Amino acid sequence: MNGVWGITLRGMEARKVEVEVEIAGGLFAISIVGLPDAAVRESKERVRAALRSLGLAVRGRVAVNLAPADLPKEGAVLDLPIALGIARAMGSIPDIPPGIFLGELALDGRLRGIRGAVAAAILARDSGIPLFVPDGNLEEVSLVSGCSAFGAESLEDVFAFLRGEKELKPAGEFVPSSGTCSPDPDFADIRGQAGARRALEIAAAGHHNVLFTGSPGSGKTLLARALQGILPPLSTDEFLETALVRSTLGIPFDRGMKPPFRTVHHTASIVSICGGGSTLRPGEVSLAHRGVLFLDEFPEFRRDLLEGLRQPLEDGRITVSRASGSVTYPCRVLLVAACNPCPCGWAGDPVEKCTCSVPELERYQRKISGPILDRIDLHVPVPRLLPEELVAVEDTGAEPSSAIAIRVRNARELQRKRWAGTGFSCNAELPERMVKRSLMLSADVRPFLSSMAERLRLSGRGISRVLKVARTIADLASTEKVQVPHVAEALAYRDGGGRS
Amino acid sequence: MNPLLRTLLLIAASGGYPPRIWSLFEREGLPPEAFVQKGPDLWKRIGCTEQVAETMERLLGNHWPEREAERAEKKGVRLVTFNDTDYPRSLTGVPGAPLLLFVRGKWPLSGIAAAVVGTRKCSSYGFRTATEIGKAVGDAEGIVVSGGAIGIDRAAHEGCLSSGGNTIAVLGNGVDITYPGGHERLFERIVSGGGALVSEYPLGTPPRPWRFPERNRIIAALAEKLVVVEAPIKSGAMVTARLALEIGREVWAVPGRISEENCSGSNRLLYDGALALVSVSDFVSLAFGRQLGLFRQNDSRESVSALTEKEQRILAVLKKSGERTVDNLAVEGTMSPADVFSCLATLAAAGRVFPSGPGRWSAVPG
Repeated sequence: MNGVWGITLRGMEARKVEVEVEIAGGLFAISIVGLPDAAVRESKERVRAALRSLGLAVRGRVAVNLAPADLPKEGAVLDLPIALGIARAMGSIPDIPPGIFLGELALDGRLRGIRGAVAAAILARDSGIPLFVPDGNLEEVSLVSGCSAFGAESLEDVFAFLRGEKELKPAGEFVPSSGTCSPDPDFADIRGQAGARRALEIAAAGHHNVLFTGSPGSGKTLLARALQGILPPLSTDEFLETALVRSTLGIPFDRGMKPPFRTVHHTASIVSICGGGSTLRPGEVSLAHRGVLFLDEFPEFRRDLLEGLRQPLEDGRITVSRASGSVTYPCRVLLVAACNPCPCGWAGDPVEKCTCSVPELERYQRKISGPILDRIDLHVPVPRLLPEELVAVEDTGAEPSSAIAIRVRNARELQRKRWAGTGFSCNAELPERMVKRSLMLSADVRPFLSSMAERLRLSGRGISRVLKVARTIADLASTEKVQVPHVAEALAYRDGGGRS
Repeated sequence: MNPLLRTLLLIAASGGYPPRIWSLFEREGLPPEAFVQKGPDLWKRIGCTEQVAETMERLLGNHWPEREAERAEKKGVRLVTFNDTDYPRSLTGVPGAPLLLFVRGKWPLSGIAAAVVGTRKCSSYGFRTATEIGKAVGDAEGIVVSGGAIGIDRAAHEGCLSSGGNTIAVLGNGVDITYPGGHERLFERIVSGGGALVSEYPLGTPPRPWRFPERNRIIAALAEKLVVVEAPIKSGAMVTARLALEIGREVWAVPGRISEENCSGSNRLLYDGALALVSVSDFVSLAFGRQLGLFRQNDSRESVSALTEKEQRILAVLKKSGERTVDNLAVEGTMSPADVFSCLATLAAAGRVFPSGPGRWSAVPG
C-alpha cells in the first residue's frame, strides 16, 4: 500500500503530508488521525458524498492516517488526496503515480480552489514531482517556473487521468497582464501640493517611508493613494513573493503586476496587522510586501502596535512566534503614515482656529514622537490650500502620474545597478554601516553637512537618513555624485524640517 | 543637620503654604531649632491646621527631613535656604518669597535675568518670536527665566540655549520629575548648558494645577524684566505679569493681532502701559544695555550676500507677501519645487525662514 501526497501549510511554507488509507470490515465509519483540524476532520463528509456522486459507495471501517503524525494539518486542501486514497484502497483506480494532489471537494465531486497553491508549487518544484491543483489555482501556480502543474475540474477528471483515459490541462507560461491600468487617482487630477508630490516622487524612487502632516481636507489620503500609480511595476520574482502571501491567505489571484496598496484602519488588531493567530497567518504588513502600507490617522493607532511594527520595518521581514511555533513572513513595505497636526486638526491653519486644550496637545505631541518616526525618512507637511491659493497655481498644469513614473523607474534602475550583489535594491534599505562609504558624495557635501548638522543638531542617525534621501534625489536627477543642493533638499524633509 | 534646613524641609512638605507658616513662626521670636523642639503645641498655637500639624508630626517621626536631604544629595540637587549666600538677591524682601529652593544644575547664576512667558498653546509666530528673544538674551549674556512647559516656555529656553546662554526653568513640581513628558532632553540641555531647574517643592512632588500659579511668583521675582509673548486674558502668564508689576518689575509685551484670543492678554498689558516689544534688538539694547551686533562675532545669520540668487528670491517673496506654501513659492519664485525645498532648508538653517503651519513658511521676524 502506498500513500497519496498532499500538503498542509506551515506559515507560508507547504509541508508534504502522506495520506494512507486502510479499509477493514465492519460497520461504516471514517476516522482520520494525525492531528487534523476541524476542516480536515469534516472532510470525511465531503469525500464520501463526492465519491458517491461518482458511483462509489464507501463501506466498512475506513482509517485515514495523515503522516507525519506530529505535524498539525489544517484546511480542506487534503480532501482530494483523502478521496484518492480511499478510492485506491477500494481498488477503483490504479496505482497513483508520484505527485502532489490539492483540492477541496464539493459534494458533487467538483474541485474548489484552495489556499496555499503557490507554496505547494514551490514544494513540488523543489522535490521534482508534478502538482495537481483545482482549475481555479492553475494560473497562480504557473508563476513558479520549473514546476510541472496540471489543473483538474473535478474528482472525475482526476480519476479519468489516473486510469489513462484523459489528459489534464497543463499550466502554461505565466503571462503578466499587458493591459496598463490607469492610475487612480492620477497626479494630473491633484491641484497644487507641489511639495507633497515631490516628496512622493522621492519616496517611490528610493522606497523611503513617508509621514504626511496636515489638517482635515488637505488631501493626505488622496496623495497617499496616488503613490501606487508611480511605483515601478513588480519584477516577476517580486510578484511571486507577493502572490505567495496572497495565496497563503486565499485571496483571489490577480495578474496585474501593480505593487500592493493596503490601507489599515486604526482599530485593527495587532494580529491582523503583524500576522499570527492559531494558524500563524500573515498580516496586513506582509500583504503590503513590495508595496505600500498606509496608516491613516497614525496617532490613533495603539502604541504597542506601532512598537511592534518597528523592527519588521527595519528588517523587511516579520517573525510571528506563538505556542504552536514560529514562522517568518516578508514585509518589505513602503510605509505611508498620515496624521493631523493636533487632535482637532486645525493647528497652524490660516482660517480655522485650533480648539485643542493644552493637555490634549501635550498628549498628542508625546504620541506622535514615538520611536517609529525613526524609521520615517520623509516628513511632509501638507497645507490645506485656500481657494485663492488654488487659483494661483491653477494654470501651472499638473504633471500626470505616467511622466513621474518614468523618472522613478530610471532612478530605481540606477539604484539596482549600484547595489547589485549587495542583497538590497533601493537606497532606503541601505544599512547604516554602508552609508558614509558608498553614497558617492561630491567633495563639498561633507563640510556643508557638518556645518548644517551643528546648526540643526542632527544626530548620527539623522545625518545618514538625510544622506540616503539625498542619494535618491541625485538618482532622480541622474547625477553620479550627490551635490550640495541635493543634501539641502533632503534636509527639508527631515523630522521637524517643516513642522512648526 | 542644620536646624533651619530641617525646619524648612518640614514646612515645605507640610501641605500648608510655607511662607505663611514661617512668618507666623517668626512672630514668636524663637530660634529655628525651636520649631522642631516645641512640636505640635507650638504649631497649633501659631495657627497651623490640624492636618498640617499631623503631617509634620508624621514626617518628623520617620526622619523624613534627614532622608530628603540625603536623597537630594544623591541626585545632585542643591538645597538653598533663604539665608544662604547663594540665595538669589532678587527674591529677598519680596513678600511670599520661597524659603527653600531645590536646585538642579549650576547655582548661582550671574547676569541680568529676563523672564519670557506666554501661553502653552502659542502660534508658530509666537513660538518663533520667543525663540528669537531667548536667543538675543543669550547673546547679550543675560539669563532667561521661564517655566518648563511647552509653547512659549520651551521656545524661550531653546532660543537661549542655541546661543549658548544660561536659562532657569522654575518648575511647579519636584525638580526630579519631568513634566510635561517629552521635555527630558530640553531639561537635560538646560542643566548641561550651565543653567538650572528650580523648584520650591520637595523631590517627587507631582505636577498639580494649583502649583503653577503659585510658582509664577518665583518667576516674576527672579527676573528683573518680564516679557509676555502671547497670552490670553485668563492665563498663568497674566498672573505672572500682575505679580511682577506688584513688586515693581519691568513688564514688556509683544504686540499681537487684536482678533486673536491668544494675544488678548498681552495686548491688554500694552494698553495698560507695559513696554511694547516691537523689535528684539531694541529690547535687548534697552534692557541689557548692549548693542547686539557688536557682540556677535560668529553670527548664525549670514549676510544677504552669502545667499544664492534663488535663496534671495525666495526670501524676498516671503518678506513681501507673508506666509506662503511651497506651491506659491514655486510659482512666484519661478523655480521647481525641488529647488524651493533646497532653498528653504538652507534658509531655515540660517535662521531666515521658519515653518509657520503645516506646509506653510514665513520669514523670521526682526
